Amino acid sequence: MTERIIAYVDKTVVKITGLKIKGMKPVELEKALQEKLGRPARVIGVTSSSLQLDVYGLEPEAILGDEQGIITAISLTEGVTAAEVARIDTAEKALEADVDLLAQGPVSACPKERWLP
Amino acid sequence: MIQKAVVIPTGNEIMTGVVLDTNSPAILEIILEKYPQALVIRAQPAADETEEIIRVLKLYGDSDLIVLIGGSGGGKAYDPSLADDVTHFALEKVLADRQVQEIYGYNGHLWSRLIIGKLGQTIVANVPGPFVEAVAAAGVIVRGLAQGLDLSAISRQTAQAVLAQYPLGGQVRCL
Repeated sequence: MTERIIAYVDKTVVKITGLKIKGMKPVELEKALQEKLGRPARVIGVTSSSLQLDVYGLEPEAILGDEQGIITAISLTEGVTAAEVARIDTAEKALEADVDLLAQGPVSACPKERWLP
Repeated sequence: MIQKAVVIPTGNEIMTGVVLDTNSPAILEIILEKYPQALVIRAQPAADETEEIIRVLKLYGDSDLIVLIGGSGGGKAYDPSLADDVTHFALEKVLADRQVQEIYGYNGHLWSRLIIGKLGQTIVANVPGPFVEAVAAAGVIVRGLAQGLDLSAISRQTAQAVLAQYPLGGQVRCL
């Protein structure tokens, strides 16, 4: 049996590039960002050179406006080093879609592309 | 009664050490709190590949409980720079008596697809990768099994526990 739930949580998706990452503890980074931003953040993707985060309840403009502060906070986390080219690559607010359009078939891929520009 | 439990982290970032696996120790602790007599194993991480996850899963087919961590969302289908989230696809292929809870963001992005079911006599479940969600989900699964709840009830409670980790009290709508 499959049940579907839609969570209405305001978030901005942030991607930061130009990092060197090895042995990072995501929960420590999330704590550092929470202290810096005053808002919760969740690590959703990590490579050896980039981070992708969900930041809850904060507009993209506010995030972009504090780019250096955020990168500094991240680089103070064990396992993360910010190179000189470190920057916020993207900060985009998740857009609301018509829930009636939610895919009804089996999940073969994320349905995001059906709604977002 | 769980005599043998296995925790399987998934993801290339875990395998390569880019991210330190702090989820597995926390989930091992949760299992041991309820089943102190059990043999509890943290398996080698599995790569983000469906067949590889199934192969690792079957290595531990003599267990009472297997918990897989990560790979529960839309992943690469949402953004090419994200991981290939395929754990839920692997479980869909092999588990019987499956109970599935799908959590979407309001942008239609699949945030988490939580599956619990059986592989032979082994109960298998996945939990999301983010630490707070993984711990919340694992706690519900282990406590639910200890209380003798059926998989359907555990499945629903697991989804609610994960939802409760999303900040700011966002509205949640069940379809």
